[in-house]
Amino acid sequence: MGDKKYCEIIVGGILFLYLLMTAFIWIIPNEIYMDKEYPYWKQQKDYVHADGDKSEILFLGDSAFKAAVLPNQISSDAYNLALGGGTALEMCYALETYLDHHPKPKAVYVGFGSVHYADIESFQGRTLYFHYLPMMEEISLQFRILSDDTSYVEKPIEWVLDNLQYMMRLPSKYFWTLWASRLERGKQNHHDYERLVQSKGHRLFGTDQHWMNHYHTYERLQKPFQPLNCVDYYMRRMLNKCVAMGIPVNVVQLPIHKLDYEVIQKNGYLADYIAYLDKLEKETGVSVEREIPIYDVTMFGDHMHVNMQGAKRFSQEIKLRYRIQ
Amino acid sequence: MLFNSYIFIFVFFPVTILGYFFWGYRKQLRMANIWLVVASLLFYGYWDIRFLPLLLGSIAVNYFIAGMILSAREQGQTRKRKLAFLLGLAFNISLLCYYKYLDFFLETLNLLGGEFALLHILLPLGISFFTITQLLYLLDCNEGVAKDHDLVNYVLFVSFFPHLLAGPILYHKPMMKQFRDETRLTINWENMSRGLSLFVIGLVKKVLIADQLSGYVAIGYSDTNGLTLISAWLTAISYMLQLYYDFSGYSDMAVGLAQIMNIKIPINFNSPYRANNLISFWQRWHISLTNAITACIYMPMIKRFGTSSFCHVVLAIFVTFFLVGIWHGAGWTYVVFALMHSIGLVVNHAWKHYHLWMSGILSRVFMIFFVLVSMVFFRAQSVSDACTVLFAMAGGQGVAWPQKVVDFLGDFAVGTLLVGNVPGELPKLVFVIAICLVFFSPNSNELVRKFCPSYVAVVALVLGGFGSILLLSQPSEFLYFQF
Repeated sequence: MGDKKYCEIIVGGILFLYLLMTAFIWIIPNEIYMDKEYPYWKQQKDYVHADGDKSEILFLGDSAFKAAVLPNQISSDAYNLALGGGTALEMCYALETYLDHHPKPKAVYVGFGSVHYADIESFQGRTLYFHYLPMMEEISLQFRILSDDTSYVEKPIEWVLDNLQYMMRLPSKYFWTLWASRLERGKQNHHDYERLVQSKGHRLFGTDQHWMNHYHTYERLQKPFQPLNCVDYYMRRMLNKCVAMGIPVNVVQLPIHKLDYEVIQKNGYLADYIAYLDKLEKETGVSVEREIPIYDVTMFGDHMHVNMQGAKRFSQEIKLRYRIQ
Repeated sequence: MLFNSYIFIFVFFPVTILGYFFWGYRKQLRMANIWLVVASLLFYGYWDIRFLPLLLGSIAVNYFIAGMILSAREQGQTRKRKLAFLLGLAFNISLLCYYKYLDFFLETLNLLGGEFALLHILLPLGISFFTITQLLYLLDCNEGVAKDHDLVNYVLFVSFFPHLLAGPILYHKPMMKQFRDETRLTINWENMSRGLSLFVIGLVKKVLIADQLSGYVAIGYSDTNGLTLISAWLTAISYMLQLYYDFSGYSDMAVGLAQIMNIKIPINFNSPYRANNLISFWQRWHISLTNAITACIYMPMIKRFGTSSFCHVVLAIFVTFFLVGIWHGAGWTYVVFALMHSIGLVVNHAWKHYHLWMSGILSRVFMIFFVLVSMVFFRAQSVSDACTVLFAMAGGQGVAWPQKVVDFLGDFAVGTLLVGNVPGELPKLVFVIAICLVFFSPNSNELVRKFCPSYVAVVALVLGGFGSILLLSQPSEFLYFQF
């Protein structure tokens, strides 16, 4: 074999295998290999895209909200559309898509932990990874993140290249998921999906009774509160959409435990967060809660998410506070 | 930018060689060299643009000083030449000391009762390498070996991207000869095939072996008190393997990339763990550094002594290899590493000098053990951590047969063998393969020397390259980048 042919075969061979693997990833159903968070994102996406005829009460937010809101306890019309790792970027899309397929909701409740105004760390690892958004939305979001929050993305070129790998479903991002799954996750994912349908979108995240033994404050809470401009944009867009359509909307605060509360109160984080909420309420005209409920540590399953006991309490409180029926 | 990254493999390098051979096709040697300079500076700046002015500044100062030395030599102005050389030496050593050793120096003073605030100076990538490269050039200028003083070629010589961040350390004369040679601008398929093979082999060593061991090593060294006899030995051996595969893999990639462009750069490793003694080990490990420090320190010292009596040789060896050791980093662990190797080499030389005998096997075992222990210091965060690991290796922290060891005997599922069940678990198959390759198989340069394009080689390299590319997204570090 000549040297030229040798080089051509090696380069061509590697590229061919890579493209073959890419094609395989595109073809096989996501459900049989995607990891455990996928069914929850898929279920929510399917729900907002499915046509409905019922005017519902929607709960949009992050994982803390997902864990804290028990729709079955609140109202027969309630539905929990929050997402683990979700921010206003995803919730805005979810709401707008929901409105394209469902009648106007009776009310919308929006709830994020303060960290999710300042961080979009799940954008790559969940939103892009699970192909949650259509491609044009993904591209548009990336432009907005890069233009509105230039300092957030440390290495823009690498970040964009990383994102492209998710969008193109390249093996560099999906091979290990495939490998770890042995293509055997279909049954479990289906089971989790169905469970979420039954609970109308609610799920728990942490269930460890002894989570305090390895507690550490979320790193973001130790830095000054600094909301991202892109998150703020989509938050306002979501709230303004509701206002424009005459949908009653409230921004609610999620329970926090004493350990984290003491940290954020002492270091000025809480004051900055409240100031942001004040501004949000003033500029959107939407009712925004300021008071953060403080629950006992026994009501939490981990440092950020309530357990079932905490969820029951929070659901009851929100039902009474807003007189939801 | 790392060699083992998508942007390098799929974007940077293809564009670079396309442009390089395009200028070659147009027979524009100058433009081809400028193209490589631009690519190299982009390569360096991509990592962190803040470091680029430092690199350019260092190149500018050294180029200017080299000019002074050469012109003084030409005019026979010995005193001026020596002064210029000393100025260059002082500049480069000061630069290195500032960025690399100042905080260590201040920390040491604080230990002795001082109250100095640490500056937390960020270590610029590759500073040890491009500094030593330029020091060698100044030395060559001073001794009349180097005469070429072209700016573009000099910038290319220092910043040439295959060697810029972690060597091999280059010598001016052979590189200048190649940079002036137009014939290298034509695609040479023999070089292309060998270079490509070497690059893929290096990639496999780095990604499929070194990176797979790194998680286990990191966990072991982050909790040295938790190590017991078995885990301590496995951790220490894993690091020894990781360091070799990481650095030699990088060097292979560097040599391969250069060879694709028809540029020959020196090899850096020659199966060091197959050496029979410590002297031989250093002739096979980071060869370009050993040669550079020998030229910079050892030879001048011997020359200065005037005689090469055994005592003088011993002193020169001690100083040389002590500097080799602390060149690697600023910290007491590196000082211990340096002391160990300098003393070890002195003992080895004395053993030879007095014609004492030791069987080859015993000598090799002793050498491996010695290197293993020294690498514990090399890797540990502190001297006390290193001592803890060694204590655990001696059984001082108990002997616990991990459950996984018991499971290992029955657990031969390919997946867990390759990457372990959980992050930080020892990938058993990789570990075993790494040991076998390092002791029993030809090294990459030997393979490429006997190279003949064949379907077997194609299949091996395609599968190895494909596997490596699949794993490129895993977190990776080049251990020698911190030096």
